[in-house]
Amino acid sequence: MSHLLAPLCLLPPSLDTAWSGVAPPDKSHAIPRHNDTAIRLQLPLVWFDPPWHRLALGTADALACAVAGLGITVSALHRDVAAAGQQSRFFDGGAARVEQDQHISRAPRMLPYRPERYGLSVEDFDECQIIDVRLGVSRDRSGGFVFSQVQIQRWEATADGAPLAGGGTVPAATFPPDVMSLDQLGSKILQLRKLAPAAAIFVSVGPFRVADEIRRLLASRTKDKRSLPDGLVVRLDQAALTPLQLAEQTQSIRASVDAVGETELPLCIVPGEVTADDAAKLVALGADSVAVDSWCDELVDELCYPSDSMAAAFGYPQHGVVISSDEQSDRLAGWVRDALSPQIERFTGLCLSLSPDPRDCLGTFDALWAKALGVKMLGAGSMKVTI
Amino acid sequence: MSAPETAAEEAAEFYLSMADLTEQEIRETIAEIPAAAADATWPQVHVSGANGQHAAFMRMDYNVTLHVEGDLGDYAFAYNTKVDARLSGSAGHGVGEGMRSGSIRVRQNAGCGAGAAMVGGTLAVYGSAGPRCGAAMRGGGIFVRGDVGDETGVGAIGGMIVIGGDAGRNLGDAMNNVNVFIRGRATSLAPGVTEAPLRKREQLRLGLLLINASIRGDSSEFRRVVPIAMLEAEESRRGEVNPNWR
Repeated sequence: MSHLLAPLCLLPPSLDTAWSGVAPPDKSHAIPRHNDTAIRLQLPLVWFDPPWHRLALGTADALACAVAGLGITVSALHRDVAAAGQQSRFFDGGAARVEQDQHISRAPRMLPYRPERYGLSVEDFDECQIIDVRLGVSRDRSGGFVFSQVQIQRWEATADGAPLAGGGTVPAATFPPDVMSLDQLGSKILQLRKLAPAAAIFVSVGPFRVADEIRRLLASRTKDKRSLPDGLVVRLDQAALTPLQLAEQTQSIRASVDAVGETELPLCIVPGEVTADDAAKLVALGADSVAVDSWCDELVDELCYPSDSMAAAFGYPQHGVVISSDEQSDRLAGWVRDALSPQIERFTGLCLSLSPDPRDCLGTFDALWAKALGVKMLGAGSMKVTI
Repeated sequence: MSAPETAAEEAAEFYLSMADLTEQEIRETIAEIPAAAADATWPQVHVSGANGQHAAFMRMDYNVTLHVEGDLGDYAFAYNTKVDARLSGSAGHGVGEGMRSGSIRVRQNAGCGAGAAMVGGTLAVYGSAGPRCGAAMRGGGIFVRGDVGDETGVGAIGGMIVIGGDAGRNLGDAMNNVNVFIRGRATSLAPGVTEAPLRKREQLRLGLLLINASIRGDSSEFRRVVPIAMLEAEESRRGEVNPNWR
């Protein structure tokens, strides 16, 4: 995968900087909450929208455990990884206690609170670190605003002979049906705080009307602080942005959030396909955390037979690899560690170099990027400007 | 809490006030109530002082009958299991969201999204309900004695909605495997749903449900609105031929 944000450089210190040791690697990511408490996550990385329905239940559960075990916050409903009434290692914390540190003791889990709430069970609220109120309608792989039959069957299993919607797709919702308008979302946030007192409440929006939506979500500072979200997720992956647009949007969204006085509000960017270098640069541009679905979805692809493969054509099990024992789960965890660790280490290392102010660490050799992002123009070309 | 007036053959009664106790204290008190014998009437818990509190009495999982005096705000009784809840006034938006079992009776009106994403149990509203009543419901039954707003049943994929009055626009949009019974008129039906004959068996079932929900009326006064795909599947299972083909 090529680096989308290659024209942007993460700058080393200037030559006259005094020699200083690198600070101890505190990689954890703190999410401040309304009541002056904070939720600490091991890494500012999220697997935002995993395609769990493509995997067998046991495999999905083992993969969620393995990815969360590396410190990436994983979004899942219980029904995504286990049948109703069945146990899940991911939800029961069996394998995914990520660190011995008592402040970071649970598998980092995000509860996707979609407008339709298909598949949601009340136990999903227990011990999740983040509830993400997903506003806006979702497209499936076909491009429609629908859930596929395989997806809906995962959430709302029906008898084989009586599939929902006659085996077709099910329309996705645009907005929570029990909220009157965006301006009244605060009441829903208060409800979720009560259902999951220890969780941070995030709200995710698409990129298309993001400035207006941020203003409406956050601008009312006279509101009860508890009715405002603890964080914001922007799904830039919903639009086909150029790399420069991705960088510009990340920067502008951070500026919009800062402009309404919420300078400490965590901003999570869902950028689509990115490398570890890109993810670190998004942090430098103002994101507090980054969705790395492209890293983790590759693992799902490996575990499934591709839909155009001969195996699929001959009717072999659609879900591909089936994990059904602890021993297999442990081996899968090792495979996941081998696959993701290099990217996580690269991202972590680059982020450690972004101090003291990440925004001062950016520069570019490209005049267009320098002008668009207001970052330093680098190299000999910069001399022409100053002479 | 006043002392329980327990008699061997009568349900224990408890009196609590939201003005004197926090909701957490009320919950703890209810949790301490000994469970009734399997065949006995459930303990009766009377709660006063409700005046529009939001997110009240959510995720309760007790074998009690809860009588709440007054109005409650948004998301009252959400995600409840077992509890038989009765509210003397009105409820805000999302009453009974995600409820799993038990029952909720709202004597007056409910806001938007009543019974949204409910999975089981019964929600009865004796006044009227706002828009998107029963949205995304996955099971259970909703009974509204009065009118319902626009887009009732939107995205519902299981269960039943009974409307004693009229419905607003777009009744049954994106609805699957759901029966809607309506006594009045709908401003418009959504594409993909249709009126269907109310068969004898459904009349009997509806009559029984009306009695259970204490809603007056004869089931024969209701018409049935269902997704076209569901109706076709029913007819195909029965081997019926649509006589309107010509």
